[in-house]
Amino acid sequence: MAVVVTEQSIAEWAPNEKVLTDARALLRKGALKKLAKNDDGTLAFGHCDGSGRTPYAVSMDLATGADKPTVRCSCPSRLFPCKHGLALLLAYAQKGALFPVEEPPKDLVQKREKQAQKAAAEKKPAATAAAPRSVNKTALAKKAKEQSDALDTLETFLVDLVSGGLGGLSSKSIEAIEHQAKRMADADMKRTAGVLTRLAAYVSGDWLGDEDDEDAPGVRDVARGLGEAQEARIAFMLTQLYTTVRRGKKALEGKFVEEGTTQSEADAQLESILGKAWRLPELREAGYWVKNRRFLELAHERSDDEITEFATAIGFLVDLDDGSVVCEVTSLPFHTLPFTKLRASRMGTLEIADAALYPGDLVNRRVRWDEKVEGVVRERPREAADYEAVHRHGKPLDPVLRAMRNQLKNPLHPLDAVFLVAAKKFGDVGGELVLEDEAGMRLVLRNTHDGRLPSTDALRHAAAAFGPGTLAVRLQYDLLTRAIYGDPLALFVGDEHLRLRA
Amino acid sequence: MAKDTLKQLDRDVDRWLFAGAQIARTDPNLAGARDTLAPLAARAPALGKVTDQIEKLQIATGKTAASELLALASLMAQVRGAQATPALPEAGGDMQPLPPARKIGTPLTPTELHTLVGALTNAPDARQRSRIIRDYATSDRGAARDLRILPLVLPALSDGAIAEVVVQYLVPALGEAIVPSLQRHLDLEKGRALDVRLLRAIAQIEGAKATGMLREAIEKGGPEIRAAAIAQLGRIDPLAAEPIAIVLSDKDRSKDVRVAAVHALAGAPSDEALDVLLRAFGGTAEMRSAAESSLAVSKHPRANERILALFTPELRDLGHFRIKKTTTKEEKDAAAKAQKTHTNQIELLVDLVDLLTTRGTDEGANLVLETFRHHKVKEVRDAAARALLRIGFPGAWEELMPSLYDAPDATRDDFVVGVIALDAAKAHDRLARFFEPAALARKNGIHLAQSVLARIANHFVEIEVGDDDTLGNTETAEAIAAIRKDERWLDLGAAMLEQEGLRAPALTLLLHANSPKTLGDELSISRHEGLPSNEALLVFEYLGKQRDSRILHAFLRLLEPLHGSYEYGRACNVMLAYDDPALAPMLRSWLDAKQKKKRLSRAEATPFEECLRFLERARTATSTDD
Repeated sequence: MAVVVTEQSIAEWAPNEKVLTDARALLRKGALKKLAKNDDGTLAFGHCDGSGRTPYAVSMDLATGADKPTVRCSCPSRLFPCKHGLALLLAYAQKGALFPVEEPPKDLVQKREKQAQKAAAEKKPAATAAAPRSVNKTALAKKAKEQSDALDTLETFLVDLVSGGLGGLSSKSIEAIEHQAKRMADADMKRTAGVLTRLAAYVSGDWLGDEDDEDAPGVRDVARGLGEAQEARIAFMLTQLYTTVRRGKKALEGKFVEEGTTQSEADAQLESILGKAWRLPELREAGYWVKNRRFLELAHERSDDEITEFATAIGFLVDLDDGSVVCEVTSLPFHTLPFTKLRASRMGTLEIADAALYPGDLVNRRVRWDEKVEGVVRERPREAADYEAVHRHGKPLDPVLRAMRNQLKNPLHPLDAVFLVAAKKFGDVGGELVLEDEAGMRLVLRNTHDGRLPSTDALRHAAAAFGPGTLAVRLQYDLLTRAIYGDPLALFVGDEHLRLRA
Repeated sequence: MAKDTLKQLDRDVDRWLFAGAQIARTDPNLAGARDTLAPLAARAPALGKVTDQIEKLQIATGKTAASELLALASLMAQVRGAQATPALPEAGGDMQPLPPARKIGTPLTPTELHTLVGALTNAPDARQRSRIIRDYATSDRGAARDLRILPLVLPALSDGAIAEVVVQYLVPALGEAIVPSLQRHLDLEKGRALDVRLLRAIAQIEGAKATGMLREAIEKGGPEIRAAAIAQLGRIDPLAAEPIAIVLSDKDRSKDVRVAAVHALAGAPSDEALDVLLRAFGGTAEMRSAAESSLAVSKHPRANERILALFTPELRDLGHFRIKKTTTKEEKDAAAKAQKTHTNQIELLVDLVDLLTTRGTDEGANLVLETFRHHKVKEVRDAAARALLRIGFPGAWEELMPSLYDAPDATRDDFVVGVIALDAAKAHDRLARFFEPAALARKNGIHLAQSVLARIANHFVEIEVGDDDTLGNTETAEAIAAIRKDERWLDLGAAMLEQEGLRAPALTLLLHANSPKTLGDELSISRHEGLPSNEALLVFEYLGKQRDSRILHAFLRLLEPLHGSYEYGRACNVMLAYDDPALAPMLRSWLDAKQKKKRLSRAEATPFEECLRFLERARTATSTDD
């Protein structure tokens, strides 16, 4: 299946902005010469003038089974793709239809065959790898004991903390919180460790961007004058931690926490509380698996967490068949970012043959597939029918709010979720942007103060110019006002997809 | 009632977590909440759970109280979720429709948007801001026509570093969608620098539609606004601008406006406008300068004839000013006046010579050459020489050459540009003479050679230049191809590596040329003792683009002259891109030795640590398909 090349996708494949700028300059200068393609248009090749004595031989192969083209160039650059390769991609995206059809060079055909053989060879060990892993029961029991002990310590710690009240925290308490975070991380309960690290940061005021005192490294003081919002956030974190203790203990005993907990939610808690890292075969075996789905990306967000030092890219995808909004997540530690890239935005429609849909009663469940397996994923240009499906899945506010409340009932769940809402009109009430649905129900739209571009400004313009449509919106529960408001992500009007955030 | 009680209890629980469990269990609000909720528990089991938990907390003592308070907090979190309601607008009132707006999409991908937003908002990682903005603005697919950019345009217009490129490229790319926002913020009467930019931006987009606003700006605006408005009107509609510009050039009280009005007459076709321009040419220095640029492009059929006529026999025969002996005050005043008139005539003549060469007619150039050969005043002869050098006039090459050494930098640079523009393939034949030992030994010889090398180096730069304070787009594609083809430039660059004062521009030339041919010369330079750090970095960057076993050792040698985190960072970037695993042990041992000798600061050591981490990574995981 051939990859679709658009200028947007090329921008996402570029290793950095400078290479892309250079590639555009090469294209403008007319450095590409003797451009041609094979008869089915899946191979394009030519020469590109560079700083070497002879022009570089540059080619691209769109039918390697991967979700990106294979770009080859004889230049010595270690960037991949290099500027010459990107220039060829840009030329192909702009005028590929005009490339003359020619017999591709033999070495290129040989390379393609070699790559196909290599891919086939790699597939076989993958099949054996899928065989069930042997379970080391002693190790598992040891880990369960460690986690149980860690949860006991956490409970005692929380009780001590609340006994005297959070108002009496000292710099020693922050050290103790950090120590507790390390203890949880050692017991492989990373999410809980993360909440504790964040709690220490909030209490010490590090979330304000305060620098550590260089003269006394490692010693942090309690922040003075925490705001109401921060106090609410800290109280919520304590609640989450206490819930983690209670549910974690039950989960270790193999019991459901409360009546009404679904198997899916119980399995999700294995991940969220006990740090279970799901492997794809396990998810398949447990039935968390979907087949032949079509996804369309509503919004793509990147966030940098300065506290955990992780960068995360989340793509919110709507399942065009059942209308659920799922998320595709990639997360990388900061120090790896110079050498690798987070998952780029999906500009086409994804056709997924096999994918894992993570367990849980969350609104936006995580979806994941194995990109290395040939034929699992295909990205094709969007069609009118895809947009029709998006509009069809837009819901009125009432069921959306009910689903949101369901999620909020679980203190371990996030306080936000992304939905598709059918908007009848947008308007201004006292300077605030408001969405109204068919039933006359209203939702106030506000910007999330996370340093990104204000999306309500973009929505005001988009809605005024294009009219109402289907809004991809993040519903956010505000701990301070104890109310739900909307943070607009994208507006769909007809075949227009207006992305409102970056 | 129950809802309000639950809401209050929820807030109280948060408060108690900060106050402590002992205060919570005796707080009257807790008892109050239980009393209100208990009667309702039979109907709502959830409320029963809450009242039970309140009671547990009330009777708990010591640490148990804390545990029960946490359990109550956990329960309240669930209740709160189940009762969550949408936020209400802060102010009441009816829903007002949104103000109308023009259609504009969101074609930028998240990565592209991040880059462009970074450039517009001066994000810490933003580089080459002007170039990025221009590239997106001029993209064929109209990438910059993105509605998410709109709110950033106004702040960007106030950012001096990018305001020009925003007005020139981004604002026209956004088109009419941005106009309402620009118009909202435009205040013709205030006339701030921002208003001038807004006015220019609106005129740029709206073209002929903006003439009404421009007329209004000329009537109502302050001097800066009037000047910008008449300049834009002259560009958009020279015919409409002509009568207004004629009046303004004569009557306006602001010099800036008069000057702008003269500029606006450049495209005016009438005899009256030509008269105004010629009159302005004889006026003050600023007016003459404006008139000169307008006359230089004037398409009036009689422009050449009238300009040549300015070169009167009186000016042609103008000699040196002779100072007469004066005794009385009247005589002294008359002499001073005569001297001033003479100086003015010389200045007029110098500008006229420039104008004649700029218009580029044979008749004009020959008249200037004649002036260079025969005029009595040296200042005028020099001006004529400069003017002819600037256009690379081939008619009197040998005659003009000596004047070049004394010419100002701008003229020298114009001369080199002119020679290349004349015939790039022969540029080496014409310019190599400036690198001969005798030429270099002359006064300003090195300086002239530097200008030549710098200009030639621009022709080897891979990416187009044109903004970010670099040189303008003077290099045409043909000239670039011809200069690159001529390998003698590389030989010349390599030869100049030994010449003090020319090494840095020669290294820059070789770096941009990026030819393996000069590898030996660069390796040899890397062994020089006392190489300045800027030159060491140029060699570093050149070597980073080549492949040779000797380069790794050269890298380590070149690290010695470098200092500070910035220079180390640049060197590490080169080594990082070079990505040779054999470099890792060598670099580690160099770093250890360096640390032993003099400990590097954290900022200095960080680039090396990152570079080593990358070079020492497990390489099997990153192999590519081939």
